[in-house]
Amino acid sequence: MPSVLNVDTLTDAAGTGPVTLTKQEAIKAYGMVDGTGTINLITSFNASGVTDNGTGDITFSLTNSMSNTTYMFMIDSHNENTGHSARNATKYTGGQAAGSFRFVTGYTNNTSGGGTAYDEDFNPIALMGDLA
Amino acid sequence: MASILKVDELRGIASAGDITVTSEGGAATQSLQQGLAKAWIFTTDKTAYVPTGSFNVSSMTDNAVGRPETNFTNSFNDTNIVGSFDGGYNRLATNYTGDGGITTSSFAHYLISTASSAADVASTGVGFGASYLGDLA
Repeated sequence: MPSVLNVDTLTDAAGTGPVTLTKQEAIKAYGMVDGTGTINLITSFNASGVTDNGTGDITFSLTNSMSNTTYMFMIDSHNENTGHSARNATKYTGGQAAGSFRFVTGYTNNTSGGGTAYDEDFNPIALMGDLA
Repeated sequence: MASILKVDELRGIASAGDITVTSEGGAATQSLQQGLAKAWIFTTDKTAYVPTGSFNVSSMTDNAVGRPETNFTNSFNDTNIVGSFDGGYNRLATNYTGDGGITTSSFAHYLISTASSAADVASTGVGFGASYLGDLA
């Protein structure tokens, strides 16, 4: 018979550390950023906000910090206003901190203005690794 | 000694869909559910996009060349879905405002070739993959 456990919080046996999710790991933070006009964090998890550093230059800040600066990240950029235009997103040099992640969006190299930073309206970001 | 709890389903008490877990460093607690990928799809079918492997995906719709659409089994709570896509070799994969765009139960994609035109996965490409984050209904 299937068993159901009702619980609010899961910790390790000591009560201070994380439980092991056997052969899987959860994403620790994600967000959808609209970088056009006044920058907007449309939806998010474990994010305290976003900062507009300049054209296409975005800092995604965390509520709970990562434990190091070598965590895995997934970033992408699109321009939905044009229907289906793929853009490029890349990590800003030195932009990977425990409490934030800075990245730049813009044209891909196969589109007009390739390599140029530009504000885009559909920028998903997700971070994986260990929390502090 | 490590303890192992064997159980088929976990539910929150205060809210069935909300269970908190402790961070690796022990400095914080945050939601387990929100950190889980809610759907993913990978297919090596380069023209019809029939799923090779998937989670919470009922089917793929082939709307036209380079325009696959993912249909979810369990719908999202809203259309604020954080997606990550891969079109493989020489293809950029993006969301698409046509073909219904993004709804709580489906997500339209557009694959673009290096010639900036719609194209299915390249013959030398591995396939199409996508994952979706957000809150389920």
